[in-house]
Amino acid sequence: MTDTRREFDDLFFSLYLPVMVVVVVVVYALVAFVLLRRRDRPSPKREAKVKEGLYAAGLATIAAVLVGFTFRAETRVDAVAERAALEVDVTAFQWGWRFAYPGGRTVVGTDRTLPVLVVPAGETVRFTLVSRDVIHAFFVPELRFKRDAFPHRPTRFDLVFDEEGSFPGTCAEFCGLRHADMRFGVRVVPRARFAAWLREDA
Amino acid sequence: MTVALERPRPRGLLAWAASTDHKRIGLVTLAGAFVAFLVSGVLALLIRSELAWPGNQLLSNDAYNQVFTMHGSAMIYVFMTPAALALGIYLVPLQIGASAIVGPRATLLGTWLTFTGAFVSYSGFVTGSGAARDGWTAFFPLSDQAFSPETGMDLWLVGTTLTLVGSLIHGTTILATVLLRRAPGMTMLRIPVFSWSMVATCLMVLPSFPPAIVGFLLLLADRHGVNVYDVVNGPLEYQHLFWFYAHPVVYVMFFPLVGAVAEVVATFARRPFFGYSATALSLLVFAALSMSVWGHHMFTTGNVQNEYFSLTSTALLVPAGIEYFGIVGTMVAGARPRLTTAMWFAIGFVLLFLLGGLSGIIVASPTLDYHVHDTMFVVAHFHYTLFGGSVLGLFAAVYFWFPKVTGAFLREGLGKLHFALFFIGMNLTFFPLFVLGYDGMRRRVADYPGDAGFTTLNLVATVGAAVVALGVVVFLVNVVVSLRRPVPAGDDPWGAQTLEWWTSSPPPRENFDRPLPPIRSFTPLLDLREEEERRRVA
Repeated sequence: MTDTRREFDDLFFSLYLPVMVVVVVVVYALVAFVLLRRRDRPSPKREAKVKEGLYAAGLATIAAVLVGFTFRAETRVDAVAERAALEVDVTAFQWGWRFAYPGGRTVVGTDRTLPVLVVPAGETVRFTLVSRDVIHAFFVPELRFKRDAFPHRPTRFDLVFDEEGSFPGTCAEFCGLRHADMRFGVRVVPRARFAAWLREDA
Repeated sequence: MTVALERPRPRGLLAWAASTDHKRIGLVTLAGAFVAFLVSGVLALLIRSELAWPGNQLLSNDAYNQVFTMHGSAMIYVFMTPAALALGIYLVPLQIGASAIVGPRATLLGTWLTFTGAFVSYSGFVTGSGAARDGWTAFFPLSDQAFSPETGMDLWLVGTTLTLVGSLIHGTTILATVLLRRAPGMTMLRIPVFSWSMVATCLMVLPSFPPAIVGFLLLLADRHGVNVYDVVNGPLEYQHLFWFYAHPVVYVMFFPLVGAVAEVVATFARRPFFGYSATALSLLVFAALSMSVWGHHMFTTGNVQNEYFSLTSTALLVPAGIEYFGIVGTMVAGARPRLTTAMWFAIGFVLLFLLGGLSGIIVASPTLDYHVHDTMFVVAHFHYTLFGGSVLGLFAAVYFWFPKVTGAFLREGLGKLHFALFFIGMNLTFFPLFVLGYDGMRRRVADYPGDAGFTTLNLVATVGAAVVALGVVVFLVNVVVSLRRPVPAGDDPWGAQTLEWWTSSPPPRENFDRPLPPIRSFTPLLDLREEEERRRVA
């Protein structure tokens, strides 16, 4: 089970963002201090080797902590479950999407309507993503996740859609003339409704 | 016996375009790069105008794709890289007490290649099918004949390759100059911080530019029947070649301005740069590490070792933090700084590059990058590094060295107005893009849905771009006014520390018209002043 959104939020709001805010506050405060104080003679000191060494060690520690937590989160985000509840084949092409479900049901858009990816809530969905022409990218902002679609090289990943609802998906990799229009919808429905939908008109 | 053949000396424009004086080559390169900055700036205004509201008002999708492609391409290949190297061409020989650059003709050839390439690349606009439209990245197979049959793409490949060869030559001659032409007493640990930044820059240019040159030429061949990338792994291999160049080039566009800002800050804080050897070392470590981080542009391909590239990319914060320590430490240990325009631009650099650098740590984490990659967040990130960092740093350099180069000051009042417009406009333009990207707005789109909630912030960004444009106008007025009615500057108007301020302004053809002072540290002029003071007291 990979809750990509929670992994992003935990890492970003509990670690990365606070670290950045502290650094910004410290540097901006130092610059303000320099601009506001009165001091006519500079200190003649040219180096402070011990302080610089300690400081570098501190920086390395910060880097190590960030990387450590990133590795932990990434292992979970990239994990592929042994068995998925549903497998969807996604084909990206200039400029649209094709979602193929088990049992033969496929979804494609038309000139006027966007294709809608329908998935069951709370289940692990296995995606196999490939492109028919140039590089595209499958991007669902709500899940904080994207993956590139290459021609001839299918890629697999698992996603879990926790909450029911509808939200947008797009192609994120620039793919030519109508890249801006290469969008799709995501609709997350309860498990039972999904089963019914899958049977509707295969 | 040798017979000297008298040939008429070229005059006028040719005297500039054909001069082998490194100072003229540097200025011509900088001027050409600045023209590219203006043209690409106009393209940026077109981009921002189109994005001000949802819907296609100004540009069709196709026109928009050409405009953002040429904006990014010219800013990176023709403006920022050549401009950063041009500072080195002009300043490095002066700073190390040399009378000329190594390989003056080769350096001149580099400049010609750079701008011939720019013309070829831009000339796509006058072909029937328009300019290149595949981004400055030109990823395969979008850039293949089948998907981009237009001549503009071929012109882009030929032009960009020429420009890269030009910059590669510049990197070579600047490095050779530091290694071979230092004045007596000027050891490697006594060259100024700016010259150190150029050493690190050139050490990245040499290994990273050739792969891109090869990569683009192979792409050109591929488009004309030689199947190079047309294999299963081809699109990935193209990206490896491209990013192997295109990540280090970010630091090529940035390091020289770190060096320039360091000189400005040290001068106006009236003390030697703090932590000189740590900074020199950190620049070298940074350059070395920069060769190992390219894969972080490919996290979302699912086809690189994400952990490895995440580790190397995040580790960059160590040398970057040491450089900040040096610059901010110099300010803190210095006297209350003289707030000249150059110093304001340097302060702006410190404040704004920080946001670019820190957001770079965010995109170095695959988990976070999976969300923000290819969104406006990344656009905000690299504009904070390249505009907030490199462009502000470049203008710090321009205001600082203009008196040396021309013998006249730029006007301080107009300069501060220019800085204020840049600082405010830049933040208005790019800060909203962090939020837009986080909210899921992609980059490289001419349009966005009206109901996505992106409209207000896009409008703010467009207003910001207009403020920046106004700043450019103020700068141009400043240059014209300052040259028309010059305020003479003298040899060393700022009380600076390095050898270029020892000679007259502008320096003569052979750089120094009197013997050099003794060189016992990286601040020979400061040492001289302190010695005089000691003598006076005694």
